[in-house]
Amino acid sequence: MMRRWLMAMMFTAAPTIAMAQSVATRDRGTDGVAIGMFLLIVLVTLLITYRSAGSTKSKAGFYTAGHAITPLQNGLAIAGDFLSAAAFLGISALVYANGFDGLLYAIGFLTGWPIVLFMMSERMRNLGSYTFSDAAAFRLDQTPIRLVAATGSLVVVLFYLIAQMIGAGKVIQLLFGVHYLVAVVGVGVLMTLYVAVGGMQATTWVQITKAALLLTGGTLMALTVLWHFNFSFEQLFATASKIHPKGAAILAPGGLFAEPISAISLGLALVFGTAGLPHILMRFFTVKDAAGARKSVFYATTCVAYFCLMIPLLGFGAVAILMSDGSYFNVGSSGQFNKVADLIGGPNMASIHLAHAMGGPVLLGFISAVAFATILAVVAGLTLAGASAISHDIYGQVIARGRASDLLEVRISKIAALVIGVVAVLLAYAFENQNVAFMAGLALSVAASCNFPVLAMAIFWRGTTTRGAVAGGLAGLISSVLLVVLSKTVWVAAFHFASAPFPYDNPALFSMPLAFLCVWLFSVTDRSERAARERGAFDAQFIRSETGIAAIAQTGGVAASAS
Amino acid sequence: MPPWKICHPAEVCTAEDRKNLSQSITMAQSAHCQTQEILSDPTFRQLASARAKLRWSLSIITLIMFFGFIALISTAQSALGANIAGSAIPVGLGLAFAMIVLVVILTGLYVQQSNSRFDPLNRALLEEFGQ
Repeated sequence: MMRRWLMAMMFTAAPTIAMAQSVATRDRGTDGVAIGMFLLIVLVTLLITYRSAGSTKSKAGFYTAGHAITPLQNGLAIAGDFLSAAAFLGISALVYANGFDGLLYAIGFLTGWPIVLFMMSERMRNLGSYTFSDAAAFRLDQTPIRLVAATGSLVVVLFYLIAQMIGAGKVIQLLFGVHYLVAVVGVGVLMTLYVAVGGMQATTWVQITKAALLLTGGTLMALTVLWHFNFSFEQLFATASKIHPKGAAILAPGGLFAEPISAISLGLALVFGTAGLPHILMRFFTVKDAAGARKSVFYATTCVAYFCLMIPLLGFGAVAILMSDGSYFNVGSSGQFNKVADLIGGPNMASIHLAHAMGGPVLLGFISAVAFATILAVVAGLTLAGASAISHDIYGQVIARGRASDLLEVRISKIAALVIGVVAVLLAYAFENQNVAFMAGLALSVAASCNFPVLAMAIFWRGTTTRGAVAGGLAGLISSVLLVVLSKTVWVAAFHFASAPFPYDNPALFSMPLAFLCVWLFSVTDRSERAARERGAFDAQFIRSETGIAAIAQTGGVAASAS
Repeated sequence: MPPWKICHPAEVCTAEDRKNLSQSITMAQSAHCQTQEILSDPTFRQLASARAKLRWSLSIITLIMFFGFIALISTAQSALGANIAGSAIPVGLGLAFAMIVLVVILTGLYVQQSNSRFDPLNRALLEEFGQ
């Protein structure tokens, strides 16, 4: 074990040193702090992984850190899992470019959380043990439900992971001046190590570290921005609207959400997608009981809300402070520059440049390191969720029918993590210069249209049968993927057709109701013996989901595999 | 007879019933009787209905708030751009910040109610029926 770990260490060290060297050789000469912080984060997370290695011997240890994470720790880890680099750099960039409209994304991200708390978290913990499919398949036929749920999970994980990896590669390339491939391989090796060696325990602590760093870094930046404007919001907004090319329009809703159908569709994907993200749902199993799951969502919601209050300050602050300073832009020969598009590294770098403007190289180094940690924590969570879908749902429950030994299932999970890591790196490399903006959106749409309807109907509606859940899940999965392919972002931007058959960017408004409709239709028309048995098992599931009392599990009946 | 037809939902299986039954029926059937027993337990009914009421009403408030805000944005853009009386902060931004705070208050309310009202009921049920 030890030797294998050390060998893996050497593989990680290579790109790390390469990154550090190329930072050191850059001209700005101010990046010592960035390198130091960066190496410190790599070292700390590897130490966490090393110390967690012993916890991955059993299934419960590997998938859930032995259900022994406290609610506060889990809340921070959920926030760390959820707040991606897309949220940190992307939403502040949206505020930078569009003002108010960017803030709406932040609110959409946040509004999913109360829904997760009221509908999902406690019931998930009561019904399942390792993955959300445990809850979905509680009283339904294991094989088909697990296959649909695992497919939904893997689609979500892969698309989300590729989008994150490409973003990560670009950000690290910009921050440290290393080659894109080196950056992507570095991230891939680190995330695979965290998951394969340290399992949920290591992933959790990487996420907690990241959440603490992100919240501290964001607070520091927000405070310096406010201090710069004498702690007056009015002064900040007035300066920003005076200097932004769109003027005072950035303080009001603009074109981004003017079209109601697109806006509602995006809203549905943001709100209900959160309740169907496999890496988020999995985190509820790391705490002791349903009360722990509930409390952790409260802590997570508070962190995400705090983050949502900070992000517009950073975005508007970047407008007010950077736009008057030509040194942050690629200035053309005429001395003119576009205040949004010509920002060095693109608008996504707004927060990073703001850090430099507010706190010089020290804050720049710190915030760059925060962005790096942010990326690592999210991809690690995704990899673990994908590996669990393969090892626990597909191998453990479908192929081995619940009879696999802990040792074998954990080993398969580690291999799956490695495979996911390799696939993610290869795809991120292949798609480097493709437009992948749709991928993160697609991941949320699939989560809202496949995972969420299956799970919600299985938990809440007595009438749901295996046939209905499978039909609904597949309908949601296929329709959401198909509609994204037929939308402008793929059909026109990637395939270069003249116009898109599907006029909206986000499919959730159509694919999610279709999934619910199919679950209902194929359930009520299901007259089989199995359907009657599944409806009959609802009462026991209801009791278990409300109280945690396992009335049937003790008899080795329907729910045996879920406990 | 299939196990889910042994007890009618409205019927209560007493402990004595179960003892008598356990001699002649399978484990699945006895578990089914325990299910019916819990379902008709007044504590369980109180817990399930009170919590459902809170869950659904808070969810509906959250969804109305969010989608109402989206509707407001696509219908009343100019009104949201106007400043809140007596300040230089636009109404829309003020509403957005208020919504963020409200989300935390709603989740906090749910957690507080669960900790103080539902957890004791749940503990009582676990003591009575849990293993």
